[in-house]
Amino acid sequence: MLEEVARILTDPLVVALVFWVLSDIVVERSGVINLALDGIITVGIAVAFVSTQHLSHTIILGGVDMGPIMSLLVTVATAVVLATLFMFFINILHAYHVLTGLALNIAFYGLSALIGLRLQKTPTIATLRLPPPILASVGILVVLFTWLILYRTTIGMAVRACGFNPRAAEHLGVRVWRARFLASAIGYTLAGIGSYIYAVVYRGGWVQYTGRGYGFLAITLAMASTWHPLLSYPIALVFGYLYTSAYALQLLYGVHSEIVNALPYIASIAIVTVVYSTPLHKKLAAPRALGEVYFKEERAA
Amino acid sequence: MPRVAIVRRELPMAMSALAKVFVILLGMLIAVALASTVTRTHIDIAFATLLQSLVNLNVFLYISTLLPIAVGLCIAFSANAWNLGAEGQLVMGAVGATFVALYTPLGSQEIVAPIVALIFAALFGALWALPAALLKMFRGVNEALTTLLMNFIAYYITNYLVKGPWRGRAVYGYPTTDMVPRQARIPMAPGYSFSWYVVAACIVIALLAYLFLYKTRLGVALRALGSSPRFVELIGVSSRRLYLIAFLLSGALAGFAGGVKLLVYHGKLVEGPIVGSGYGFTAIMLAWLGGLNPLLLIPASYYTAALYILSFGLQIGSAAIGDALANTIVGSLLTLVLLADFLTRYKLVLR
Amino acid sequence: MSKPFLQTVNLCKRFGDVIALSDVSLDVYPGEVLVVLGENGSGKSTLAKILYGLYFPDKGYIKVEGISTVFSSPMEAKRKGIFLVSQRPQLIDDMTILENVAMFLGEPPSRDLRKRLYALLNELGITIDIDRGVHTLSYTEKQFVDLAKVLMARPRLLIVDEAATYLPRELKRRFLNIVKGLRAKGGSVIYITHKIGEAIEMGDRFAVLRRGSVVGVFGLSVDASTLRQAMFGSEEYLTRIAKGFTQGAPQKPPVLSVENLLVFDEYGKPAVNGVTLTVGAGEIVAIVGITGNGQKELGEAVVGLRRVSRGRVRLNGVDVTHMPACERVRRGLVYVPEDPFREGVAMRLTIAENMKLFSQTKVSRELLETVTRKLDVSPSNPLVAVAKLSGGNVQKVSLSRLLLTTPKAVVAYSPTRMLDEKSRVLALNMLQRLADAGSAVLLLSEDLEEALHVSTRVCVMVSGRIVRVFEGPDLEGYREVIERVMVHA
Repeated sequence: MLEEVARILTDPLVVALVFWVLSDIVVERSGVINLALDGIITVGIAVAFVSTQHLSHTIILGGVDMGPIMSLLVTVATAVVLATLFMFFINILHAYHVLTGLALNIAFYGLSALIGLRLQKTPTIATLRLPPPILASVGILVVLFTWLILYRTTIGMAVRACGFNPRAAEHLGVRVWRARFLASAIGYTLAGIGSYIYAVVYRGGWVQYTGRGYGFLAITLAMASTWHPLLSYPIALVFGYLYTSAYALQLLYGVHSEIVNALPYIASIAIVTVVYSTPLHKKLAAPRALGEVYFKEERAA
Repeated sequence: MPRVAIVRRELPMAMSALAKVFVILLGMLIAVALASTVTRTHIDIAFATLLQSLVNLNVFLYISTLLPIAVGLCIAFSANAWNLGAEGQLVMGAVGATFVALYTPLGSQEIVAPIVALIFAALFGALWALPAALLKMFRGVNEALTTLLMNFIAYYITNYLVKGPWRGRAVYGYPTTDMVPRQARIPMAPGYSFSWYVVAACIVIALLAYLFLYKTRLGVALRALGSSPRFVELIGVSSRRLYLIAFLLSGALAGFAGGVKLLVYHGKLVEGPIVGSGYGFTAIMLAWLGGLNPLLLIPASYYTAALYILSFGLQIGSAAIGDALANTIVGSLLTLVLLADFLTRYKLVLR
Repeated sequence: MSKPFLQTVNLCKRFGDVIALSDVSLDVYPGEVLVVLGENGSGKSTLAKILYGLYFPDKGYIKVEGISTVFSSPMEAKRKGIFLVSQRPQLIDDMTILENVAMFLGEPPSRDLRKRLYALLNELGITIDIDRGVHTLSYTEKQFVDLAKVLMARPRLLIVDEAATYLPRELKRRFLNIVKGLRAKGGSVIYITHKIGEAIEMGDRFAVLRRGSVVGVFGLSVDASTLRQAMFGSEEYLTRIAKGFTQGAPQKPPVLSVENLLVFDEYGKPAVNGVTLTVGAGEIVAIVGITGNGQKELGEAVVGLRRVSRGRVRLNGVDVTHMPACERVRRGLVYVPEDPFREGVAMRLTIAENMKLFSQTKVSRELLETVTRKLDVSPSNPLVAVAKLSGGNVQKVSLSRLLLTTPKAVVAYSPTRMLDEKSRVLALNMLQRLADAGSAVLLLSEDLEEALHVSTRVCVMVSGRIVRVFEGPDLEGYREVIERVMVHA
């Protein structure tokens, strides 16, 4: 039992997932439905893959290859830039969150394919070996870090206020559009790191659209945890366990591989349904204004 | 000190229409530019192909699948039901039609077969939309997300059927089912890959939807549901029932389109992503381009169909590129529509 | 003669076709209370919001201590020492008092802040635990917290937008004294109201707004009738609201009845805690009380928009307790909701479409025109989308349902809050006529004056219970008693 838990804690896929879920929590806490996440994750994975190939062994500082670090920075930067584009549509153009997310997703899928196809040198890269304790600690630390930011800083307070009641937040002097941009910068930094871990530590290979679908799973898990960072960790771990065990089903019970592919999606819907059927989720304050198109000069009764 | 602020504005109808036209023209330019870059064709050739696409009768192939889905989405979005699962509902509709055609005795009856198959297609589509609708109504779970997840599930289920229990002869390595019996297929117009019957049915569907949404009490209430569900309750209409109807109708229409695609074009069930080809998402863009008005969807679907023909007409060889190109164009177009939407609803004030 | 702290220069603002403000120029001096007097729809709230940076003026600007500027966010107004308290306390329910104040001041919730906040609350005579979630507070508590948070920031100019208008007299007096205290310290106050009595009590100078323009600025010696004349022009609204109470009338059959009702609010607290009430045909029963004592939940439970945990609701003898709202509406229960924008109308649809939806049967063009004319909806083109109308006109469209249906029972929640004087009289007369025709009317009102004037019975609601009922031909005489009951029950 304990070794199962250890296995999950140190699985790079699960750690990547944790980063993605936390990323979604931060962004949606500011009141924005984060559908563009899947597209940006996919681009991040492609960029991480390609940049690792191009940047490894190019700059050596004190005997250490700076390649991985630089490629991490490039991945994160890409994610944040794309997120800013997304936020531009939401905050400045006051577009519907769902539609913008969808439109950008489609565009970003295409972008990821282009980047991967045109820039790749070889179909695989050597995966970066990170010692398991480091991976596990990174996972735990990022959860605590996110919780700290959201619940113990003024920025976090402002972000949460926007998710509860953007109008009242504006009255209180919070500049809603600025808080949302900040939340997306923080959130998508996390997403970029997650994409990097997935591409370089876990996968090591790339085909068109690698990574597509994880974004939606992350959003669902974030919803299941009612957007609470601390609660999202165990939920992500449980899901990670189910996910990684699913392939055992294929081997041991001969369940068809396509059904196995569908299981994560079915499981995530099931998890959300279960959580939302318990009284627990009512006790936890969810961002009430999630998805509301906030326009400052809207008339109110 | 110059200051910029964003203020709501009211545009007269003429200006809104003009903005839409501008979007359409700009969209065509972008499509041509993208197409020529990606397929490495000279821009003149790309432009000429665009003009040819506009008069290529095969636009009706795309119209017959895109239009019903978009009409359904029109209804759903007007009721604030964010059904992003049209893709999955379309695929399951195809599954439903295949089921009738290949695995029931009705599948080989003249006339009856396609009709029953299409009914089942619509039914499967509606059923596929049901879980998301129920989860939203009873548990408050965001339906945009659940319907998106159901898309993936639909893809994989179809793949499973086609590779597993319904496997037919493999054609060029792609797994498919057997061909559907001749009696179940809807005859195509000679020389083309669409059916006039279906096109007529689609236009009728659009007209009926328009009449419903603008001329009946229930339909007008449905449009109010989008902005105020309580208002609808207070005029004596069950907002929950109306929401459910809107959701299921959109699922049914998407399923119907899937059935059409299968019986007219494919002739057999193929892998999920190929059956869907992203049409479900294109239809979302279409619905918004048409301003959620079923009548405007008819010209809008014609326009989108032309862009599709352009995308596929230019590529030589890889179908994947044509597919990716079409999707990128659609994505960009949707973004443009959102931009135009903004420009018509708000303006920038410089002080 | 000191220089003004703030001047507005030719401020203009329109929303679509509706002109809210037109060339408004005013001065406010330090150490004075400038009353801005105007009825609903005169533009006073718009003015307040522009001064606080919530709205951006189309034309004109502001001068703060001689420097011209325009605010594009509350942040900028706050930096100049300008603050706003309004009728709806702008606090985030899901966070604590301390967090709200901390966010407002732009500081972290430190121990030092706690000390200062408690010190101020003490000074104001308010005892409250600042770690409570704002959603646990009563309306009055929220209003005082709202005021306290602003005072923490040491405002140079405080704009009070009808914040005390619906507080009972005693609490209002405390609120106003606190505001006056600011004047004593050299700050300025812009006090916005539509009640002349309140204006005279508070103001050093008076600016009257009518239909978006300043029609007069008066000094301390002005009398009520001059102000009234300026507010309403030469039109006299002597139309009194018809009274329906007939002494010794035979017991009317109960149309709407509520037994031992228990209803919870969003946070799991009992909002309606055992209410029993009957409204007979032809009666107008008013429920009065300070906002937040369960009136909203009661109205919603009667109508079917909120779940009843225990008790019964009956319509003409039929138990409708668990019927959805649409079913009750079909059986003849009509609800005029408090929030016209979100519940009363469908903003995106046209006036005609809205009115046609109100009626269960077909509505002819003549009927539409008659109704629009009777309510004086402007613009009167039925093909205009309701979103383009001003607040008062949106409320009128919402009220048109009373003319387009024949209700057996009517539940009206603050039906006249957004209306100007003339329309208010019209609306109340509509309710009276419906009662005369046999409908049972349940009126939930924050405006004690009008509730007393039009109803045959008044129930005072405190903490989810009906604590006293007043009946009789002259309910206005009970006003003082009722106010006392509202506060002290």
